[in-house]
Amino acid sequence: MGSVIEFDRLKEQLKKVIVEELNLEDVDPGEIDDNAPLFGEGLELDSLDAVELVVQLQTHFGVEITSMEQAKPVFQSIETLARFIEENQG
Amino acid sequence: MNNESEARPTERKENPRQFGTGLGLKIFYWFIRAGGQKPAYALLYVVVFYYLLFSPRARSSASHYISKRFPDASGAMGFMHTYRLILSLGRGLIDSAAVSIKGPSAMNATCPDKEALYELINEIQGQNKGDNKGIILLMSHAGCWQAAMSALDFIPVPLNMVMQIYQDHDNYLLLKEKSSNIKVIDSSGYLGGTIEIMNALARGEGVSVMGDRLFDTEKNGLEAEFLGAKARFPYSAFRIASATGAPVLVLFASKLKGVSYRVELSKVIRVPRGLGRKKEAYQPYLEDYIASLEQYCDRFPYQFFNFYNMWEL
Repeated sequence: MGSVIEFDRLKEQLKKVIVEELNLEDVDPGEIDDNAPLFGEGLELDSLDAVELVVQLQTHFGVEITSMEQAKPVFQSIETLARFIEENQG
Repeated sequence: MNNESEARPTERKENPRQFGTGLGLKIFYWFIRAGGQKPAYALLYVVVFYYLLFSPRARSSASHYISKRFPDASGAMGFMHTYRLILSLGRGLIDSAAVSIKGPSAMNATCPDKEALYELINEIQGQNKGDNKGIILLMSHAGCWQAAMSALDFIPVPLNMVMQIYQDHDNYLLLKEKSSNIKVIDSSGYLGGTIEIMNALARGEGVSVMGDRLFDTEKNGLEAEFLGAKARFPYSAFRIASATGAPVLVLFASKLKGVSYRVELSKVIRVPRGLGRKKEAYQPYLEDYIASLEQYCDRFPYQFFNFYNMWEL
């Protein structure tokens, strides 16, 4: 487990990747709530954005989502996603 | 792929595929067991006529396609086209039932593009060594999917069929029972099954998706001209192709004489990587697929079985 500062940095990087790679117009990475839902309400991503997200997680952070069971808790928010990356990055 | 991760439609749409229920189905099964498909086909002539005569909802659900495919037909001609369409659907359902009752020999399915398809898959798999991208098989509600799957049994990788299990439960059970090479991905599951689709493609497997029908809960549609008017189509296959680099193989199954079916590779659509989330970027690839679908409807006007109003925008 890294320091709080490193974890905050990871979350900021993750927000930036999501906004840039998913081309979320009018979304400022700095204004994304760490605990807001990624899909549906909150960031309002849809199921096809999940396709892009899976690819970008692998490209930028080297982590793989391998099953629906794994994805469900991980894709809850920036916080849960960052936690997953932190625990699974090589 | 649905937008609301675990949404369920509140009601089923009218679907002539459901016209055979209860006692009627048992009678058809009895005919198939007793004498094969031919006597069941004969019975179908009467049943379909009766069904269309007394079911305005059935006529209405078929009319969306019939009125576009045969815009000049009205009255008796319109009824005749509808009759031939439902008859053709019924024959396909009888063939499917015969396969489940009597085994694969009840249907003769071939793929004239077998060698080309085999070479193409080997080429894709070879190119992607260490970076498997799999293949996307883009199918349509045309012909008979059991025939398509049967004719594609030479494909050297597992195939994953994307379907809504709760709506297509009979077919799901049939697949589970009959085939070990075909797996099912439930599109009504979490995030529309996209995680499973991505993982199947990453393993270098085939993923079969329907290109001509938005699921009840799906909002990821694009409008495009189809049979002379704007219609709504899903574009998820092309977006997944862009994200993964998997080529899209457009395949059509058609019923020929007797119990023979043919599965043809219409074209291979290669979508550039990284097109992103703007759906307009996928318009040319969708239109490429629709051009093939229109050709199919031209050649086999009574084998396109999409009984909902895809032109309602």
